[in-house]
Amino acid sequence: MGVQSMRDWHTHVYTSTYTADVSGVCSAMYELGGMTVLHDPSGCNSTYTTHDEPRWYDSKSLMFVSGLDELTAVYGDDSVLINDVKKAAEDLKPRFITLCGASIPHIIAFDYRGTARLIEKETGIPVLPVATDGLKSYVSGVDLALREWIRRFADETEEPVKNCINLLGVTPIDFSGPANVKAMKKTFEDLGFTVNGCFAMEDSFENLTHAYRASVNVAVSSAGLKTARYMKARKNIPYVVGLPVGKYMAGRMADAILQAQEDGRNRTAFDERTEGDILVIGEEVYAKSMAEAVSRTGFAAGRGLAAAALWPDTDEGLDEDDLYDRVNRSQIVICDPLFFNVFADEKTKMIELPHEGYSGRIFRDRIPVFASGEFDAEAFIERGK
Amino acid sequence: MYRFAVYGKGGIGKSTTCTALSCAFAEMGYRVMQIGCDPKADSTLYLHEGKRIPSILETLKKKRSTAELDDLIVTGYRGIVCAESGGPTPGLGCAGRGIAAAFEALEEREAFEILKPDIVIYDVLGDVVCGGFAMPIREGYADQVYIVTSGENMAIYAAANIAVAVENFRERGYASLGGVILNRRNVPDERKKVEVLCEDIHTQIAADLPRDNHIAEAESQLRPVMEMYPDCEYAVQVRKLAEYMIENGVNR
Repeated sequence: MGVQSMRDWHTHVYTSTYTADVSGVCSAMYELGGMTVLHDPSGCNSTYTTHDEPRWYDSKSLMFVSGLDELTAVYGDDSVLINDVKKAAEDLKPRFITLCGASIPHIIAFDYRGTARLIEKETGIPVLPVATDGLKSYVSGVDLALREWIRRFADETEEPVKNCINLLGVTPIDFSGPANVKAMKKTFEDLGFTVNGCFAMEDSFENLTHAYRASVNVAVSSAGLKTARYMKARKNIPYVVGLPVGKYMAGRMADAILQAQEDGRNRTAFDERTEGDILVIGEEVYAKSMAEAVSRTGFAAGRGLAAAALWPDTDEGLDEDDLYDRVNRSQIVICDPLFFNVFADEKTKMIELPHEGYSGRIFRDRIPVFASGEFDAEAFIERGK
Repeated sequence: MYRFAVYGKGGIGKSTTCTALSCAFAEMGYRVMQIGCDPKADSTLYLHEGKRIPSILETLKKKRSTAELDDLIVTGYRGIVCAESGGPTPGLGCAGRGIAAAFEALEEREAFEILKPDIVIYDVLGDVVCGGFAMPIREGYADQVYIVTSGENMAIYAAANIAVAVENFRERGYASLGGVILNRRNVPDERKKVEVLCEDIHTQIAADLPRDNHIAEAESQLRPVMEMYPDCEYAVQVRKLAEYMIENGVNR
């Protein structure tokens, strides 16, 4: 699945890696009607898509791998890529093209911006350069792609509308199928907000061009943070980081959004805990939001327990030594089932929370609707008894 | 912000010219940043009394993503912000990728937004041999390229190749050619030869810098010539060049 690297002084003996940045780009761009080109030698784009982008498995999409070979790389002969993309674009007439790549273009300092400009000139189709390197996790790829899309297509003349929010960093890699996205949108609407744009699931190209109507951006995963920071710098739209995991977190989110709208300052909707008896492993925002929700349950409060989060580093993955140490110090661990085989012992209670960015489609049927005010954190944590 | 990339054959005097230019711009009241793009990491040497500074790549190797912007730069003579990309030991690794990685590190840390230099000078090793060495002239970096050459044939050939590379990349939104800096080696018909080069590559001589022993004398004292011998003919001509670059520059 992922081709993400590990620290050179560590070896991953037990655990898998998280989905890579190039897959993140494919996932972020999937529903927006564009053609995504991965500049890479691989002739098998299922490496990046079938396993990591769940919708690709059984539906049509415009994703291509350039088939970069040694001499083309050595000579930096970009005309091969440019001509291939031009031919494909003439046949398929995509609305836009996203150009990303893996480690070899990165190593030869392939010029994404300049090449995108040349393809755009030849085809007349907007080309988004997204300089991924195949060495980071999907979080980086999703974020770079969304930021570039907004930079290019969002209408900056729009003015913010009160109680209007964007959800940033939404892909099936973190949210699986549409059930979580629908529930998350409904939660925010029930709280009195209008969901202006959902980047980028269950929404449309046209609607998302109005991104700057939002008065507050909500980074519901860490894959939305760069985009949130960009929009803050560009049009001073504040952002809130968090996910409405259950009733308590939904309330925290609503308060944080209203405060951010009022004073223009960015906020997080969870407490930062570095240690806890309960450990949640997963993407950072989702794991921290879940940890906050779990810490506020009667189960945790009654036992004097608190939950903390552990998440994969965007650059270097999840350090197995840290992982092993943290799991062994925890009474309860909430994580993807792939971790069970490695660390399950009788002392530690493991509660499964599958994550497509880690285990792909394997446990998809067992992924709960967690991004909702109706998620029952109490019942969830009780399972670990 | 004016952004210039200085190219030219190895040993032609790029670092000396860049250092003198940085001093001249600083004298004019500009906030200057000089970025050495060479694994030897010695572009800015005489701006900080001949002491080597940690290169960006050395720092990244040690500190990885925890390296802050302040770890990657050193402030030298007249407040000039100095950075050296650094790179691998000769014969190993990939110097071009190293330059790209150093540039990405500065960009990730929003170096230009935070430091807000008025002038950025990229001092680039030798020829544009690969993608990494073209980084300084790509969109978002330098807007203009100046090529340093003498009247020696090999220096002129190298200058012509660099000009061709700049022209080839024009469609990609790269930097344009600002001019040629004649750094004299006192070979016969020197100016005339460089004028012919300029006709061929459709540019002009931006400066005619004399061969001046004050440079070597200043360097023996580990100082820039502009500081030690501010009235020497070389210093006078460098100041004129700095004015020329501003007058004909692109301020973004």
